[in-house]
Amino acid sequence: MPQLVPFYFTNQIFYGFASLSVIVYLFSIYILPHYLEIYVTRIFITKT
Amino acid sequence: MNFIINSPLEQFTTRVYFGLSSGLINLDTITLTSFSIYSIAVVALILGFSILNDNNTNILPTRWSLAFESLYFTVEKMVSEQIGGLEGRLLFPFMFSLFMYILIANVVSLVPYSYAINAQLIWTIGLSVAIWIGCTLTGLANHGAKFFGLFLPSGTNLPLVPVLVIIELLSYIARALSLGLRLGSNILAGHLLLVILAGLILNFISISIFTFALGILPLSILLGIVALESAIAFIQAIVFTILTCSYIKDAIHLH
Repeated sequence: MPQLVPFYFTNQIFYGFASLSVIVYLFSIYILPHYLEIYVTRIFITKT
Repeated sequence: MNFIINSPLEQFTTRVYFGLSSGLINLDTITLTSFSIYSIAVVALILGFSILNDNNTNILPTRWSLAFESLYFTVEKMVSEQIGGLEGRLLFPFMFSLFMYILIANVVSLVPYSYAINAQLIWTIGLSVAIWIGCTLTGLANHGAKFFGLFLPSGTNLPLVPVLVIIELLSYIARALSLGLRLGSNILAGHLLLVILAGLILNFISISIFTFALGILPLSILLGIVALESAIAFIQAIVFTILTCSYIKDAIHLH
């Protein structure tokens, strides 16, 4: 199986965790709070 | 690009596109390979999808933002049901990122002649082992020695205690591998099936003009399998996220 070539293991682990970390950071700091603001605004409009 | 596939496993071969070398340190880790290019592409696609969904802070959603919001609420419901409370809210960005990363990586891998990140078992198992270590450390930090109560279900008869503790301990350790292996083997098996069936159909329709006309039937079945693989791409992302939530729930609330 080509997946079991140890030469690429560190490369795959490094890029996998690095890309996932970038996504987690951007989602938690920029993207998801922006959506939460919209939901809170909607709730505020419908409840009042 | 070579469009002739010699072996069904060839699609999982990692290729080096831009190698870096230094006499002082080993730079193989940051070499640009198929995996690194596709992982960067997945990040770019997720960000592109999020920017496309940006509704310019309008209250009324567009079609794109509705698609994003439905994914948001799917994961939000999952996390609040499984973990709940303040911990659930704090972990939601991680769960949503995990879900989106696995989903987009699975969908990208369905493009013909592309590369399946989640069929690389070292990455999926590495991710699941990291999550398992994180859960175990969280459990130990929150509950101390009481965390080991997880290995003994309540109401167990005394003679059964040693056997059950061993079984529960083994099943807890097996989680570290099973989470990643489930995702990796599902994607691996799906892609292998598609390539093997496509190869057989290609051989069949190239026999004669009669088999060429008859080949529509197996081709339609293959299309059905592609649709099934698309569903599996989504289901595996959900399963991975639900199980991660469940493991974190065990670490936070115990049984």
